Amino acid sequence: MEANVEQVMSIWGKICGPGLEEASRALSRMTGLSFTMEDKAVSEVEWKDILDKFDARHAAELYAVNLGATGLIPTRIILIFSPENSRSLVSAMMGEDVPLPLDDVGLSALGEVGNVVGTAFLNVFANIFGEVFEPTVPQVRQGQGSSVFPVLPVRQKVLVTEALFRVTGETLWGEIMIAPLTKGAE
Amino acid sequence: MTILIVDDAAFMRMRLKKLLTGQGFAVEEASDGKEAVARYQALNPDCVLMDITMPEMSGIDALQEIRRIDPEARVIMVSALGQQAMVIQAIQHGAKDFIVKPYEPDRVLSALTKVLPVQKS
Repeated sequence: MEANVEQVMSIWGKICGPGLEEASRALSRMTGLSFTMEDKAVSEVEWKDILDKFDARHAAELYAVNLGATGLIPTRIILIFSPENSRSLVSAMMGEDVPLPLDDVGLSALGEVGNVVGTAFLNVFANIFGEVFEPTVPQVRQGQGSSVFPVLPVRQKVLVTEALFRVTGETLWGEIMIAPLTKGAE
Repeated sequence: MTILIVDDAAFMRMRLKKLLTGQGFAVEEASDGKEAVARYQALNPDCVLMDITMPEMSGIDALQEIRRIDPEARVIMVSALGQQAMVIQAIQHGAKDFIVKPYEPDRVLSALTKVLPVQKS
């Protein structure tokens, strides 16, 4: 099925809710915990605005999970969490309180959250297009402001979902960014 | 019985190790395909649980290499959602079963029960 980036962005915008529901089920299945996720705000912005926004936050410390998908439309998915929300999320995953900064196992657990959420979104999207997407290995980066982001064209359109994660009585915030790449942008 | 867990994600190895040692299995670990092949040759485990997507050497390449060394090797592949094509490729290369991430513990144990030889009492 042929589709341009505008059409793809429009579809992504519509599947954020179902994507988060699928991700909630998957995280619950994986951890045995009751995970629920919902989207509080969805917006379409240019990549340069995201870079500006995160650098304007006085270069706050962040954790980012980056993963890609190859297939019909190469896509980049990025999850962003504050250190405290990362710590709470990983503590829930591991069943014990973990300290900051996250160690290798903690970073790996956060990477799995990205993996599960990203592939859940891709699965919903793939079902619409009837195409298979191959997810890449998630990479977790810790750093300040936009330094945690991959390199993308500044005019790249990105769908940003502010997501609420509820697990073990805690409510956590994260941002999920989806960038369907045009040819040559990878 | 010894199970070799192969996954580049330390968290996933930790989860599987906890599950399998709790069931009485001895567990060995490798963090990529290349290490998996070396560990297989050194340890000759009863079964390998191997992730498909890994850096260095992919799970599919490692599966082929392990099966070349030991055509009777029991390898269960662990895939993410959306990797159906790779799962088919793995089965064609001799994987005994596959598990889709995220999985429930029971799914792992039932796959092992299916591929491991029945122990005589």
